[in-house]
Amino acid sequence: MNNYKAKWITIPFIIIIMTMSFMNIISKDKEVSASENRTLQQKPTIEDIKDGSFTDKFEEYFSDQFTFREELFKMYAKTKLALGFDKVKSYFILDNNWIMPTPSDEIPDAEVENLAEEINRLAKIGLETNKEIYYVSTPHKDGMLSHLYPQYTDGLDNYLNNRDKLKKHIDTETIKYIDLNEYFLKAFTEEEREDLYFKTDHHWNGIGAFEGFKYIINNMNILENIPWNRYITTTLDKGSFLGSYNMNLNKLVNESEEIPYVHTKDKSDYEYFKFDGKKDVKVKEEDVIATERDKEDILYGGAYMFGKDCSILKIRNKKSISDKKIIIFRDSYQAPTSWLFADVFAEVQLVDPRHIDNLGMNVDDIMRESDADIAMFMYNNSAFKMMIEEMKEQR
Amino acid sequence: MIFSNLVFLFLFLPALLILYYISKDKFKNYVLLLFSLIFYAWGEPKYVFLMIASIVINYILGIKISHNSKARKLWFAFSIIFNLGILIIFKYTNFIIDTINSAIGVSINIPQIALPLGISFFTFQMVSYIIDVYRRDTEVQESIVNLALYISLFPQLIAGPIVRYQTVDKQINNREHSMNKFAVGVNRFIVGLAKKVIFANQLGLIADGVFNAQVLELSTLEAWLGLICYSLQIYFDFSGYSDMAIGLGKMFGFDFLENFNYPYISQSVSEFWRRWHISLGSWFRDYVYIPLGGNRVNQIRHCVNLLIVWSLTGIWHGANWNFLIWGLYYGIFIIIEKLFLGELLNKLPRMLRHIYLLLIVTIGMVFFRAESISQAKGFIQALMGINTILYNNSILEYMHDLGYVVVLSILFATPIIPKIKSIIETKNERILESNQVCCLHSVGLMSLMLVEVVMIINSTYNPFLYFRF
Repeated sequence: MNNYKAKWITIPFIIIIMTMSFMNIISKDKEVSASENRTLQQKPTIEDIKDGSFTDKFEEYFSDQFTFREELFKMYAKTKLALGFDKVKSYFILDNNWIMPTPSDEIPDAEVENLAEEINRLAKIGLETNKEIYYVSTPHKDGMLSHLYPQYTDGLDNYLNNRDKLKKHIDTETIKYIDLNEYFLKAFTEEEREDLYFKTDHHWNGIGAFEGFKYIINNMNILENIPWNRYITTTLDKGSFLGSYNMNLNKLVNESEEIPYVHTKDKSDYEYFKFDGKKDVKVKEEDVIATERDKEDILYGGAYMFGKDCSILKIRNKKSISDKKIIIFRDSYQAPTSWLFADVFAEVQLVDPRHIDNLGMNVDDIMRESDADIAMFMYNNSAFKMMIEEMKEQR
Repeated sequence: MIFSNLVFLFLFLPALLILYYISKDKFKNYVLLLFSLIFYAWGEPKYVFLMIASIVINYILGIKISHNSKARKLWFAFSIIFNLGILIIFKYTNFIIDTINSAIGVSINIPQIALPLGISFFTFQMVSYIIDVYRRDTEVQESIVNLALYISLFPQLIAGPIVRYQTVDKQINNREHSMNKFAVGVNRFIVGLAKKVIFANQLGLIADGVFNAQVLELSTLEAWLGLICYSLQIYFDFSGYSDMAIGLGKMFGFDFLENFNYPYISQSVSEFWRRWHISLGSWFRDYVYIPLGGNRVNQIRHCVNLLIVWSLTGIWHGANWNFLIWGLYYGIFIIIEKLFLGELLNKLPRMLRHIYLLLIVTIGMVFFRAESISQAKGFIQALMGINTILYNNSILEYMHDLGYVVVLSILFATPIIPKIKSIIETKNERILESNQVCCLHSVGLMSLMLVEVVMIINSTYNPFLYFRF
């Protein structure tokens, strides 16, 4: 190698590593990564030296706080897409800005049996306290829109297999099983189903939730001739929707999505109460429903309802169609149906098992002590494992 | 600490370069030693003291062996027992106890012993020093700092190449630093990092996906793809690490010997092992095979010597029966080649010889990668299409996502770049040294480094496979 060439290699290399090193030393540490929705590792402490975790934490800290980290990620992802790849991180980025997750893994039969046993056990507690029990399997996006995936995608049947296994082990003598997956697949065409989901998020939208809700109520056989034509759809006219997948991808996809709400023409005056473990405390609607309505970026939870607000949230409606009360053990798919349930039931008690650890009650206590007439487990078919395991842990 | 880590690239290396190059020559080795110990302690804070103690003891033993006393032979034997003893205690105790337990049906319980990072590499370097001093192939090292630097020099400390004392003894005291040498080192380091981050890590995604799946769920083509990817992954991973080590060595004035020479273009198993992990092969040749008599003995003894060397090579890689079988597998093929297969192979067309080698090596990799002998057996059945379907969607998904990496890896596992360079040089001798090409080379190399950094930031998969040895 001649001297000229050596200079052309040595000098840029030294400049790059020294500049990057200097910038990393002087740059201010960040607390959180908005794009990844997580807190970033901070400088390790003396305590970390004592417990032997210093070096691992320092490497994580240096990587988390690396200068231009988010910009470099975006550059990497955009380059991949420009080169014709359709997968970034674990997401497929498909035509018309659809973001789809890697299909769910298949859950071993024995594991599903254990999960179903937990539901059956809780159902017995519900029955002992005179409740009707329902299990509603809400349809996750990956199963309903499987036609969007590239043809070679593996594991597209996993969601159906998992659902079938759960259905097989649920005690249908005591639990009424409502399968929205099957209904959505039969009642809607592929194109129609696309209108029921957000493109950049993992949830259904308000319209999808309403279609699911109608099927649930019709199958509960507790009311006849419900006037479905009194419902209208409105959209939020400010802010922009930020889908969970798009957030994880650092807003890689530029898609403007509407946030639809389905509600009655003459919306009732619902009353909201949060149960603090001892008593019900009245709260304002804007503190629990659409809490991000005034923000620039509105997440699904901020558009409808966050799980943290369901510990335990009670919605009362004096003008409800029925005088019955319902308790719903729910995940985020339930969020757009809160008003819809409240139109039908005199009191809706919403329990998110992920957020009840500060109540001093476990799921068994909640089920036993609830004065509801009906108990419903409402979990989507991609997350039921996580939610049921969460309930088991709370015991 | 590993080379493909942001802390190494943008904190450790810049700090070391600054301190090393502003230090006077007489302090340079101290700076290197200090940083080498930090480098080791970063990953193994407890075992750095084991390494230091071992260095001190070997320093004293080296001096004892160098004296013309009657006890010289005794000191030498003690040194070998001491070094191999440490290796056996930390690497093989659990394996030996488990084997005894299952062989004679007892249940001896001992606590799990953690494997100190790079112990197989630095122990072999110490043994190399002791043997070289005993044979009078080299002078004893009178400075403990210099001996410590030879053993702990960070570029080759954790995953080789195994640098023999004879190779670097003079360089420790007196080595050349120049911009040319530094640039060659930078070039080599960036290329090695690319092998690791761009190729090995991506190939590892497929290899792990296939090897972690249930064997019964694998299709035949999927099993073959996983095996090919693993064979390429381990080559790019290990040769990439060796390139980075050689490159870093040059940045600090050292010249280490080559460790890989395009092994997958070989046409026999014997040739493959002359091109793969060269430093380990030559270590066993010089310190085990030749002292046993090598090939200057009768045929049966020669075969026994080969089996001893290859079972040791296998077990060096890990305390597991898989590795022993893997080593013996190669030993048997080398013996067969020496007995008659080599001559037969020479009569075959080049392409067939090449296919023979690739089949032997890739199937051998099953034993290297499998967690147990039963997994290896199941995987080989999948490769042969026993109780499995021909293909499934997984292979299409893997190829869609990473097919380009597989194709490029196969291409770059051959000497295509040196070939292209030589063709260009034949046509125009000076073109590669022209200013324009120098600028292009620089832009290309720095862009490659940027891609590597971006991929490191976006990657969660970054282990070096040879660290566990």
